[in-house]
Amino acid sequence: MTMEDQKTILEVDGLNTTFHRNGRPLPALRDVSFSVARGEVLGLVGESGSGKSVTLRSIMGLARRYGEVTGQIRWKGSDLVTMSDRALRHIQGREIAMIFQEPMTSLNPLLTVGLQLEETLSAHTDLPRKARRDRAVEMLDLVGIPSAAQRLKDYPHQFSGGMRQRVMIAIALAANPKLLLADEPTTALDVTIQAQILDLILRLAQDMDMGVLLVTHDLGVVAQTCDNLAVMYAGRIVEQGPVRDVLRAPGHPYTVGLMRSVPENLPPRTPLYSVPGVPPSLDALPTGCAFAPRCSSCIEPCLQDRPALTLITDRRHVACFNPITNAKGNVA
Amino acid sequence: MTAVMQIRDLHLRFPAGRSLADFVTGRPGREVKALNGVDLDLKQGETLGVVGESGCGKSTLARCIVRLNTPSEGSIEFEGQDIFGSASRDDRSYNRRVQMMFQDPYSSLNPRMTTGQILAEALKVHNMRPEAEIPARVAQLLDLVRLPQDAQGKLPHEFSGGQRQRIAIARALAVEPEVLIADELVSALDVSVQAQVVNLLLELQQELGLTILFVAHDLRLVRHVSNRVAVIYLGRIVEIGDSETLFSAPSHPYSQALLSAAPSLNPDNRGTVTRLEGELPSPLNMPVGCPFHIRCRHASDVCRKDVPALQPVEGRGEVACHHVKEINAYA
Amino acid sequence: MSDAVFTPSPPSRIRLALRKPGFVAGLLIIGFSLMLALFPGGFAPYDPNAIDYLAVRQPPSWAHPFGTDLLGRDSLSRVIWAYQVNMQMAVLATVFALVIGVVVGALVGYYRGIADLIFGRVVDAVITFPFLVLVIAVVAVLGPGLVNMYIAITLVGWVYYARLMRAEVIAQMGNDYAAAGIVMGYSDRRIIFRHLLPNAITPVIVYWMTDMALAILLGSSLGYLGLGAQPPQSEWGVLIAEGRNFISTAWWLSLMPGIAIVLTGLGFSLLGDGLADLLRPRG
Repeated sequence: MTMEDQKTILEVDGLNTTFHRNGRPLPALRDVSFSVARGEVLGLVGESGSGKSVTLRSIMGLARRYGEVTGQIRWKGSDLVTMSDRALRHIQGREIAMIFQEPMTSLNPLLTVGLQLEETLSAHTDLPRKARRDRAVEMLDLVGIPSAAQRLKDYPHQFSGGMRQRVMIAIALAANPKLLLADEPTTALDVTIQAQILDLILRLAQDMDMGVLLVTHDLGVVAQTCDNLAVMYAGRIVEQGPVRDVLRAPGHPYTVGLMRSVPENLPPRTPLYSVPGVPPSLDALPTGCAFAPRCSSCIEPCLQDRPALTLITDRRHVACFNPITNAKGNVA
Repeated sequence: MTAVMQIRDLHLRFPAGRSLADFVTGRPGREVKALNGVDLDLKQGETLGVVGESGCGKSTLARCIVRLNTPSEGSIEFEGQDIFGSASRDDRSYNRRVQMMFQDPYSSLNPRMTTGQILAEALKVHNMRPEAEIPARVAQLLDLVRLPQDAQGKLPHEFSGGQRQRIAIARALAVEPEVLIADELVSALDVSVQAQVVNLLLELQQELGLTILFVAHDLRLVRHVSNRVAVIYLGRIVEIGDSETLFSAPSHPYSQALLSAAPSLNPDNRGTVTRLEGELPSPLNMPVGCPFHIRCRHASDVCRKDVPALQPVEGRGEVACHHVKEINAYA
Repeated sequence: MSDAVFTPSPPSRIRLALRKPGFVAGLLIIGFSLMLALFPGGFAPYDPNAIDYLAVRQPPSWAHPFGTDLLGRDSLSRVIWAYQVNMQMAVLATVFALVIGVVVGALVGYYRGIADLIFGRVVDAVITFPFLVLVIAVVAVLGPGLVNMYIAITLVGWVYYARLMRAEVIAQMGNDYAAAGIVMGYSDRRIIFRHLLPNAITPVIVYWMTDMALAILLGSSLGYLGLGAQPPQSEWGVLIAEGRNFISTAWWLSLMPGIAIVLTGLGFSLLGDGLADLLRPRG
């Protein structure tokens, strides 16, 4: 995680985000560090409440309105954590764009798609009016919407779910961002459409030399889409590394548990594996490793100290005192 | 295995907006064709998986079986009785014997009733137990779905999604049904919770000898729980057969595309899949001929004219495709 | 975040509501108003109808805090006795509309179909006319007086309750617990009244609170116009009407009942806001 890689564009270092509920602090993110390079797709995986979406919202400067964000988010030599709202606004949408799970609620139902595209363009580029329209058509075309020029006049409800997500992507990418934050972009879509949208995101990341931070709960999506992967649990990254290596031989017991609860390559109608217990509530985290109470390889130190994310092999990081070696998920 | 339920040529058309004037003049409004001739047997003790994209009619089919929707044509027979026939239309014992569980764990329970009240109500309405034995039975039901006894006095909002689905299962089981319809039962849950609920369902099926119709869009899950699987496209079954056979060697081009679109955990499978172009056509204007021909790369003239019938294929299940032999010869 | 863990029960709703000054103020105002309405004799210093020609149109004083009227009657006592009529208006003019509206709205929202289409036309017809105009038209047919006024307001007012209830029931029908009730084989009556109604009624109750304020306003307007309560009955609209010709010389005659109207209206509104929070389902 150093700057030695010339292509690194985003570097998150020791990110902490804390919300407050009923006057008590809620540690939503603790010591989260990772980086994204140009053209890289990094998958952020975890269950509800693990902090994956909060990470995106912290980068986008949305979390600090509701809570405290500390640590560093380095972007082109400046720090997004300490940056003024004004300066941040120049980066949001223009250099870093975001797409959401439910495209219908993130599009304005009262404005035509063309208007919303041009709005983004006029906010983030210096293009004259005519060029903006051309660019809008070009963008819809780019994301694979047929007869783009005619569809500029349509309203969001006139598009299907998959097409709407394409529109969202077109709007997000209109200003040529260098980083795309995607929050469960295909969760609401059917598998066939999901495959199309993921293909599209991959192709655009390559063509535009753009980094992508993809938040998902589906390990299959990560396996098929991402270069690298970070697994989150209770606000921390517990395992990180290249997708192929992590899924081949997961090191953290939680990663193993997640992979084993996916019914793939199992004898049919046999009990599925499920991690015993439930995730801890963020305002009552155990001392030591947050996963320890549910962990089958828990040893003495796990209950006292919190394991740091450490390098185990080439580019693989695991936060565990007793990592699994030789483990296999379901991948044959 | 005998069929407990026989669905024959089921059609369902929803009016897409009808005004008072339409009612008065008897003018038909525009229609959405949700089901277009579904034939299906549900066999005693099996789990039948139903898969398809959203809007394909799989949930509508489930809702017809529990009489939440009334079909426009066709019949559903339960033990030889037409459930929409005049004799059984108002028969509430059918509702007791065939139960349904819903997708959204946040809306399927009345937010103002405690778990105990929810379960007791089901028992009382169907006179499952004498009044005095109801508390004991409620406690038993909570045990059955592995919920602690103190859940009784709690309101739905005090539970997690997985726990709420357990309550919904307990409510369905309270009336001792023979058939369970699970409509996207675990879709809204995290994977590890999903696994717990699915395990519970499989165990209960063993224990109580239930017949289950498992409707879901997660193909891996359907493959795991089902004995047989039906693939639905635009309100028609395009392929049905033994789960393992169908998943390891799908015969219909749509089944093939659907299965290959499901993201595998194995990163080495990348790029080996056949991508399906285009999206589901609007059910407001259905394509003529085979419903899939618009997105099918094997489509020929006959596909654009005639609707293929569901026919048995040697060594496979039943497939509705004009070109099933050629496709699977070189596939 | 609370998923997969039991969330600890928050402090009780009522206790939370009692921390809100608005709700408490509303509760106090309406509580006191009810006391005045139920036991006016216990609070009024004089007989409201005792005429004293030696003390007509006296300005407020220690003996008569609200002054006296044209016939020397004590204004404070008349305003207090008027609580009986005006609070009765708030309840009687709305409660039948509430009950009819809730039942009709729930049935129409649950069954939909042709009844719903007809109901839609009725709503359109009623809502296009100003409320007061319709009520006056009905009173004109039935004749002036309190009872006829209640009938008139109920005849028009139930539509508003029914419309609100119908929309809420339809929204609640979108929740699977309604479908689950049908699948469980529960009777329509049970589903409508045990499941849908308790979940759908909150906005209707809140509207009822504001409507009671409006009913007082409407009732006193009709009283002022001579279509509602009839003199010599103490009623705020009647009292204001009596003082209207003396507004520059005996301002207290109209002002004091006016303040009573404003205060009661405010009380109902504050109570409604508080109830909205109190009754919202959790989760």
